[in-house]
Amino acid sequence: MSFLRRFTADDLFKFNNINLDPLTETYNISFYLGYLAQWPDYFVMAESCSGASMGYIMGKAEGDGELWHGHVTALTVAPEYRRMNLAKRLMDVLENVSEKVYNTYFVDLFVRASNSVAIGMYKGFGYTIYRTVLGYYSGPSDNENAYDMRKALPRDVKKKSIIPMKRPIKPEELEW
Amino acid sequence: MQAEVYQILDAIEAGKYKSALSQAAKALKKNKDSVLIKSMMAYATDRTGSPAVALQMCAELIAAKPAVVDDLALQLISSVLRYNKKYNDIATLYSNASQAMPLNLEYSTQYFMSLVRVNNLKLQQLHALKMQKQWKEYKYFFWAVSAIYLQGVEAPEGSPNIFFPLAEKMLEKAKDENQISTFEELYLYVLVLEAQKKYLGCVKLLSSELASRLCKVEAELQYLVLKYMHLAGQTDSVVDLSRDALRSAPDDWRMHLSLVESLHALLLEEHEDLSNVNVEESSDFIRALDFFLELQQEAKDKVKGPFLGQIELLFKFGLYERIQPCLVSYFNRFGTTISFFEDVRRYLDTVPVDSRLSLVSALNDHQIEFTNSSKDLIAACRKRINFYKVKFCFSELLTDGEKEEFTRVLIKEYETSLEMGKDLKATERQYGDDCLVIASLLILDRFDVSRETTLLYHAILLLETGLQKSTSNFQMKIMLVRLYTALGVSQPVVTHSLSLDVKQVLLDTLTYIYADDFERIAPLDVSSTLVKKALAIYNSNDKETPEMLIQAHKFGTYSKIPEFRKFQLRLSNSIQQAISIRQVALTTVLSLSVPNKFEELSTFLKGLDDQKFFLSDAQISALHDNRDRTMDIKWKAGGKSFFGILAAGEEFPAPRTDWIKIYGCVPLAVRTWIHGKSKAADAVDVDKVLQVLESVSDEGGLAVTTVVGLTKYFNKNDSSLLKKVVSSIEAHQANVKTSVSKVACNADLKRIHELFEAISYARIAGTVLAQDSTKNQPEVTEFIKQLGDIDGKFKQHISKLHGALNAQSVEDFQRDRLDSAESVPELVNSQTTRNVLSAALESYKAYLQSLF
Repeated sequence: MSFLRRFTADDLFKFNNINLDPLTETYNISFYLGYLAQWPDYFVMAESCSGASMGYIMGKAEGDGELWHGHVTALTVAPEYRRMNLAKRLMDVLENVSEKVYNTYFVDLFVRASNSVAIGMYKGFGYTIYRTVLGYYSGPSDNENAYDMRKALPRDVKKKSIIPMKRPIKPEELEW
Repeated sequence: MQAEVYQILDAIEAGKYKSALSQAAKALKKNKDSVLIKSMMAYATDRTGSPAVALQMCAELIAAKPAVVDDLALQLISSVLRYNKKYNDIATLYSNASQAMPLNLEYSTQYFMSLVRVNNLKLQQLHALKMQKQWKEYKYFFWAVSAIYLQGVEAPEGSPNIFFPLAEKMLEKAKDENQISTFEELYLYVLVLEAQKKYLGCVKLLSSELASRLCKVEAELQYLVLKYMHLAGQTDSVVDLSRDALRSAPDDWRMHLSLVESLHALLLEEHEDLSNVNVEESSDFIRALDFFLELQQEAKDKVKGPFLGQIELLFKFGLYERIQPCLVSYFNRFGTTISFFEDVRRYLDTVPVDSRLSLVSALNDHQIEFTNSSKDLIAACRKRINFYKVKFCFSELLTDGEKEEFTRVLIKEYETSLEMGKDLKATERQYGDDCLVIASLLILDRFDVSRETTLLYHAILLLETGLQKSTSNFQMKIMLVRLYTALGVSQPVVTHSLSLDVKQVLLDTLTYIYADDFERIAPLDVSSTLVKKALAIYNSNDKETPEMLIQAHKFGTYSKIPEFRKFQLRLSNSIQQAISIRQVALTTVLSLSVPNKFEELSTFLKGLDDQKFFLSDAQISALHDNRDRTMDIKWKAGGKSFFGILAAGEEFPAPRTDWIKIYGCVPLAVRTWIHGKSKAADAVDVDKVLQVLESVSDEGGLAVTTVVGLTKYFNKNDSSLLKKVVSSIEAHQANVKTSVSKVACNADLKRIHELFEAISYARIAGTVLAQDSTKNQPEVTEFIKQLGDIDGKFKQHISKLHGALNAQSVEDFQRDRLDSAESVPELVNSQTTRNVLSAALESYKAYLQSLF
């Protein structure tokens, strides 16, 4: 059992059971507070009936013209609360905010090409692979492509935003 | 000059600061009054590692007449000041600039933001109003209102608060003039009303057409309306709204709570004393129950809300005897979900003791008997684990034999579950991990009674085995960190804590798990590295949070300004920070206590900031405890938690009030032995330090007795005190010699460490005395001689303990620590056992070795 509410700065003191998971990165203070300062409605916490932090989503609105869109920066659910449809509920909020508050054309997100579980999950939520970003996840011990997945919102009447790109792109070709 | 300026800038941008510096020095000879070159010099000086010189240059630029009004120069100076946390100086810099050029919006804005950085709310208010008057933009008006509101929030309790009414009046005017154009501005109005408990006003504002227009997400607005209706006592309306909301979103737990709490409040309104009321017959209760039953009938498969809502209703109305059948039914319906146990945990406490085993038995009847698909097998396993958790919750009622049998069942279940999880990714948990957690907790139940360290090893072995299959299971890692700490085994604490990857804000909330008292069980260089890590987050808070407050102003997110301010204070006044600062000082002083590091020690102590180390009782009680206690496992009804068992009756994490006093004062006291009484204006008087240490001497033990005795000797020159110090150390040494004949657990190392710490302080005193020719009285000579004897005996004892361990092979050590009536669980393989025992043996040896 849970409920969704806006993420607050105080939540940074109690999201340990989510962020101790190896797939969830913990960023610096500026990262979280920066999102809260600019896009407070895009940062949502799921809380359990006992008050525990279950998962959160953070996002932003960016782009120009018909590329004006909502972006999923992070979506994470603590291990003990997975397989409960929580990710779907959090994504619903982000899509709702993208549509109602920011009036964007689509929502997009990046996912590791190897993360078949996440890709399957997003497909289930109505997202399609728009393009591949070569070597998006690159570091000293890492070099992996990302899929840029998109879901069109009502403003994109002709669903132009999700017509797949035919060629993969390099990270430096990303628009923002 | 322009060409020279570009050259210097190029050098700065390329990070060639030395080159920039020499070019700037040359250029300055030709352009003696150029503030831009001077500011570039200050910047390059700071970057080449001379902040004091750079700050002096900045101070001269700030004081310059006419004021600096060059954009680039201002940026460079403020960058140096910001890097060195001289935020007040930035405010002065931009105050001067904006006064010199009152029509420059950029300087005026920068001045306002510099006031945000130093939290000068009064000046923020005045300057923002000035800006609004000057540039006629309502944004600045809201900056002013926000500053007024925050002054109200931070006003001392009890004093008349003029700020909220003033902010309200201003916002009312803005609303009347149609100047509220964002939801954040409206929400600031709500916050101002809420601060004055004008909840009806909040409801009215949030129910207005303006609110509907500005808040695009209906559910969010609905929740806010409900929240303030509840506070305003509009209980009937809350009930109606909650019901409506639940019909469309039956899984929203917040709405269930809202409904049940309001119904309970209505009942209380009707009856002063509920003990004489037959709650079950009250119309509100009957209607509510019907409502939940109706929702249940309409609920889709996965919807839990109406079922748990019903249990919450019974719980709130005190109808505990009716909860039990609902729990069985809830288990039957939702027992396969991972969060079942957490959903019902708090209701399990209400089950009468004599009904608990029958509940366990009833749940057992609802297991999934037969399945053939892998999905169903996993669901059945999950349901069994939820059942085991409930059984463990009531395990106080099990006999020792039943607990042992239960442990065997759990281990068997875990083994079976491995087959189902063989394709899981390394980052996933195995389906049966919780079985091992419960099995370990059952072992610890027995440890709680016998305090046999063998049982700690058994729990460790089970969890280490589990971790091999679920390498990312942080719950197991946290348990292991505490179990190894209980044994006094440091190396795996380091390994597991590092693999938890605690960083950023997690350093404030989680450091206690592995770092509390770590210096007592680990070599000083190891503990020092671990405890220093935590300080990074406080530095980040100092630098980053003020900038984020500025961002909130820029984006007009007024609801976030008080939130960020609270966040900033929670970190800057955090208990963990106070603890970490002291731990770093403690480990530094101890590691520099040897005579050949005396100069380093002297420099370190001279640099201590008295204001950080000497905290009054009021300051200590105002510290924020952000340590995350939810990392503990509290699955047992009425029983001890995981941390509780290992802490042997003490609280963990401990409040550490006295500890903070002691280890704030000890380094300040030791400093007086070397540097005498400080003449600095903000230095704390040694008498005050002594007063605090004497007030906590019972808690502080031998270390405090030693430091108090020696501080009195150095400051009062009473040489009889030296003799007393020696006597108390000798008495403790004799006690340690007889009580610690082998190292087996944390308590043994703690005793040794206490002695080591006292000897280290005495050794520092000895070094000071040996260097001071004016103190060559016979008592001093005798003290130094006796100290040598104590040190010799200490090393002899440590050497004996170390030698005994050194003579043992891992197999010998294993026989010594594990061979008892208890047999190691079969699941654990011999290599795991060997690794664990080897780590323990090596940790003990490394610690003892470090004391030589």
